[in-house]
Amino acid sequence: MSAQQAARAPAPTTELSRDLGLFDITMVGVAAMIGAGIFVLTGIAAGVAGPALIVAFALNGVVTLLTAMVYAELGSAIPEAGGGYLWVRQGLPGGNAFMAGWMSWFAHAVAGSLYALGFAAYLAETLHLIGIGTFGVPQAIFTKAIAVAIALVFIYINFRGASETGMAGNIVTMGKIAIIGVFVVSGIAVILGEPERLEEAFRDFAPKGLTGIFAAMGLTYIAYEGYEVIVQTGEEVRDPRRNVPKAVFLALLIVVPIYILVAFVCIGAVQTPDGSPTWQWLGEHQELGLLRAAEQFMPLGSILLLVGALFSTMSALNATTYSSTRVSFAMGRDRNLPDLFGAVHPRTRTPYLALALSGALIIGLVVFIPQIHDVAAAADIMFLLLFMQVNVAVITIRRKYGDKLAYGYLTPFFPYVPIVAIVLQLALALVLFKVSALAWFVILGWLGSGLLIYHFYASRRELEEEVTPVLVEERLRVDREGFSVLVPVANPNTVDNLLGVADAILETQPGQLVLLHVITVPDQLPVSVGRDFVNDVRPVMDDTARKAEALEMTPNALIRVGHRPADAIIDTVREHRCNFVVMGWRGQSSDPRTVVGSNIDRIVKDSNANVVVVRGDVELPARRILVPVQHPRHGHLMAGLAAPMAVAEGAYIELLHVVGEDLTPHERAARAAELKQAISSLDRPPADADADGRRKQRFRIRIATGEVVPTIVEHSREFDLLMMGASRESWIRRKVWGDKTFRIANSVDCPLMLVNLRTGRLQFNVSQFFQFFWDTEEEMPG
Amino acid sequence: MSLKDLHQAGVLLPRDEWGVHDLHTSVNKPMLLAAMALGLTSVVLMYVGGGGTLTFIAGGLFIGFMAWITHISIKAVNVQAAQFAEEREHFREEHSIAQPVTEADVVETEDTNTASAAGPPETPAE
Repeated sequence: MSAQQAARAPAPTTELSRDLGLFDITMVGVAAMIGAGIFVLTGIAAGVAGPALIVAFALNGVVTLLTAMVYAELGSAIPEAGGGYLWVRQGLPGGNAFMAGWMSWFAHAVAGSLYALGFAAYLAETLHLIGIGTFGVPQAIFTKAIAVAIALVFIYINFRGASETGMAGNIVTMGKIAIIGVFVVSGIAVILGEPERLEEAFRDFAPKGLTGIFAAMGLTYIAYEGYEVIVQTGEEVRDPRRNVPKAVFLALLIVVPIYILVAFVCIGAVQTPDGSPTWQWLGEHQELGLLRAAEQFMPLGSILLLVGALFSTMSALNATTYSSTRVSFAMGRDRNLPDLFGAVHPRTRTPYLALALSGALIIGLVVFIPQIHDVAAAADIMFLLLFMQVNVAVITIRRKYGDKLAYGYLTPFFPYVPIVAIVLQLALALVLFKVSALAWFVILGWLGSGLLIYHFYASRRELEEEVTPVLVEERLRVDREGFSVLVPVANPNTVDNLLGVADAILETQPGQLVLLHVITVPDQLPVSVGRDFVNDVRPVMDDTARKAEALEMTPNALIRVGHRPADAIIDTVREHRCNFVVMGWRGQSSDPRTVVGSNIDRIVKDSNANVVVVRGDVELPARRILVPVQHPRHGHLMAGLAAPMAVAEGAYIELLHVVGEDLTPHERAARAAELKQAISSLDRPPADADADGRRKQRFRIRIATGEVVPTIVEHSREFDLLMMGASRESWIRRKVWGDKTFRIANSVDCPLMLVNLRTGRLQFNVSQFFQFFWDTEEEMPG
Repeated sequence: MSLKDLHQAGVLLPRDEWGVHDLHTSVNKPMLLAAMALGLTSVVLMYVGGGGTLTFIAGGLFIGFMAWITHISIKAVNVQAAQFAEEREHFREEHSIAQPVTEADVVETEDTNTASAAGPPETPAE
């Protein structure tokens, strides 16, 4: 019946090699930004915004600068593979981290597949231009096959390692910038030769007004997301505290003007064959708009532009393959995805399995990808949602850990910069619904699947990762779904007291008893040290289990080891889904930061169980129990708990409701009636009822007037046990009526039982969510 | 989602340096405000210009804004690094730390002798 579990050995850490310098990561960012954004989306966006596309690109530059500052701050302080996903994990509670990673992984993968398809389309165009064609293969299949092939090539390049990736990326990016440079210079030369052309092209500047500009901003927002790719490299960068923030700003400095100039030249230098407005003509050519523009004014326009497009899509594919791999690698390492995602190849030191699986996702999307602007909008929305999360996370990270991190850059006007960024990004994401409703539906579908995976897989893995190790577990009956009462055993002298209370609770509802002893190891030592002390605590546990069996309870005994007892108790409540925790209390802590005591405070705050805290020697069954009731509706719960503790002959429970003196007799009577109604289902005839069926009164109701604290203290003198309830808030926030609870507790002499009743699951989760933002991180790393 | 994660990632400052470093930005705020004002004004003028000369002048200004704000930000990174080093040096001088403790020095040990030396385990306080 006994099973001994060894404390989990710490997992070996995996590290990536630091090969990349400032130039490398700036080029990685530029490569990610100058890809489909310029070659594919310029034509489409021109059709949406008109000549005011240049305003859309500029305004996007301003909006993106705000988030870039946040990325510079976090990328310098927490330079790890994972980027935004990692920071959301640090800065936001619950499933936010998983969802951030899940969105980021998909966003980068879908962007990668877009670039692979873009490359294939441009290559097919090139082959067509030089008269080779598609070798008789249908165009659609030929394009898909090329896209898959180029995706495989870049998966292999990424497998070779960061330095090779950086080198390949740098060459491709430099070539691409050179071609775009020729494109811009040629266009400007044409404009300078015929200035009147410019006036004509820009005459109807914003044909769709501000709406068109905002829609184009949303559609092309993905173009500037390269800083997300830069920070993904953080773990492989030399001196990341300086280089990462610099690269973020340098990349934007290179890219934003390029976008504006390309849009300016596209619209200003083109003369449409049919005399229609240039922006309209570009919009009609969609992703090939830029190519058609280059054919008009650029020397060797088609060829150079095709080469540039091929370079661009290749480098963007390289960058997105890299970043989607790093996100999934980080998720695997954090146990949000299966462990295989976190594996690093021993020779190349690259996350080869994460790469293979990300590659499979990219290829899968290549094969099944829908229309291009829907995909772009979907990727935009995902990045916007991710950036919004990061903008929230930067605030909590600064608040919780700011003084413990080495920042290379600190966002100015904090926290207003991230707050403004959140508002603007939310607005852009909503505008995209107008551009592509389908994209929003795809996003919602992906998010929904992510939530399911988190609920059924990742959250459980997280819990497994975080729990304190169980050294010994003796089960007489295992039923984790049924009713259970947890009794942490710390002091052998108080065990009888606690077991008595647990027995009374189990009288109300049959279930099992969970006995827990926590071996507490100092912070300086690893928890594995606790194994040496198991034999010392076993006799206490065996003795407690025997006492429980004598009371006809079915104990399940656990010995855990951890740095803090509260963590072990909370883990046990979660694992066994305990309904009650019964704990001893020596009296109010002298620490002003605590309410009851540091351990009990944490257990009340972080475990959704009813917590019963016992002070003094409670003799059960008790004869006279006083239960002050704050409101008649609380009477049922408290009386239900007290009922099995007052089963002796002549025993009674008095429900005391203290009201103000201003209440009229009629109102007092109404309160009494309400209280009586609340406990009516509990007030059954006890076993010792008279033979004639006349009920002996077990519950008494008293409505007293006066000050709450002195009235209760005065009444308590006549009772064997004072049982007081408290709302969760009052335990945490002394300033609410919890003050009264502890003033009473400090004034009474009789044994005392404080009961904190648990809330609904939803309310608990919401409360935990907000508590996360409220709390500062004071704990020491174990 | 904890200090432990940051500790494992090796990005935490040594414990004795917690709270030592200033969390105020090293970005030159007046300059940044001026640059942002230029950037936003240039965007507005691009739109107001309606595709005329003003639009293109404003476009040029916007590119100037990008260069200016990049300069301000990169300068802030350099200032931040110098300030950080200065704060660290000052802190060590104040505390006469000859050999700084780094994250690499904080290693967990399985040495049971150390455990014994630390005494028996604690029991929960409550």
